[in-house]
Amino acid sequence: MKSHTDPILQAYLDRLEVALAGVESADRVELVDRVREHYDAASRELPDPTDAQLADILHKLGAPEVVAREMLAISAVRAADGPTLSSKTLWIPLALALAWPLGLMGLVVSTVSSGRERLLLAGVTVVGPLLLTGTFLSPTAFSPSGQGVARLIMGVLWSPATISGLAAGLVLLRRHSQSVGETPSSTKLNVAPIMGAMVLVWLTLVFLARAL
Amino acid sequence: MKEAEADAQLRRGVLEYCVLALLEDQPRYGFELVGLLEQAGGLLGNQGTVYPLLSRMFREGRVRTEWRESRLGPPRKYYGLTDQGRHAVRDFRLAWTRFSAAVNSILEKGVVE
Repeated sequence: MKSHTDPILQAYLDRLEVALAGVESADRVELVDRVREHYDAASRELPDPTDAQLADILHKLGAPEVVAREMLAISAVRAADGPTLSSKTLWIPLALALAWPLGLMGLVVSTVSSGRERLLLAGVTVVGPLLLTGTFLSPTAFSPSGQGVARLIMGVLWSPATISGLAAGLVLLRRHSQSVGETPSSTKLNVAPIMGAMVLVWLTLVFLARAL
Repeated sequence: MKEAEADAQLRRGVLEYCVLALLEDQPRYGFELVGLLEQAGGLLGNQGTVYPLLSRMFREGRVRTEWRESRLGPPRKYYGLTDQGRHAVRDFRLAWTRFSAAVNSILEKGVVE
């Protein structure tokens, strides 16, 4: 049995990669992995394969361009279906660029005084964008064997993170409504409502991202 | 060649359901599916086109995937039917029976005036 680094396979995969230009990377990786697996399984069935037999395995698969065309058709349908992973991914740097500086600034100047609330604020500031990032990542980004793990991670993280984020947003908004009555002359900028609103916006984005 | 085009069109239409039908009893991996389709004869033009098809069916929720260890070599990706896939095969089986009976009737006897 010859390994997947056979030059004959590598040449086929190189042509396949070129032909798959324009296909989403998850689909590209998936197809290349399946071709490798097919080649591996087929060549293991041959006791002592000759180069001609190995070439025949790839010949029967069809020209890389033909196989790629099928994948391109699927990717085209996916693009027509709605936002793609790559367009969703654009949100990630935007969310990180906006959320972290705002959150850190908020922590410095906030009237939130108790240690526990500051911890909550810091946690939400860090976790919010990360959660958003994770939500936009396709499970296939963890491909190939991590697909189940990705789902598990999101399943475990999402519900508690959402509940705690919602709680944090409500606590901050409530604190603002209390502090308006108690300390009208405060010289500090009260950013609690801004932070609270930001948390709620994050959660809305996360919810929308998952619903899409 | 028009006959070759018709052949390809027919294959394209039914291949998906043949793959689903092969998964009814048990999950299978790609190379195994290709072997069974080849045994049936005439269903596969290029073996490699099975893999984009499986990707599409996974995206549409008709098949699920899992990794299984192999006695020989690295783990393999197995495909199994979802409930949606199972319903699709069942519906196709009924439609195909009616469709093939109608086509056979025309091909064998012609239109009865």
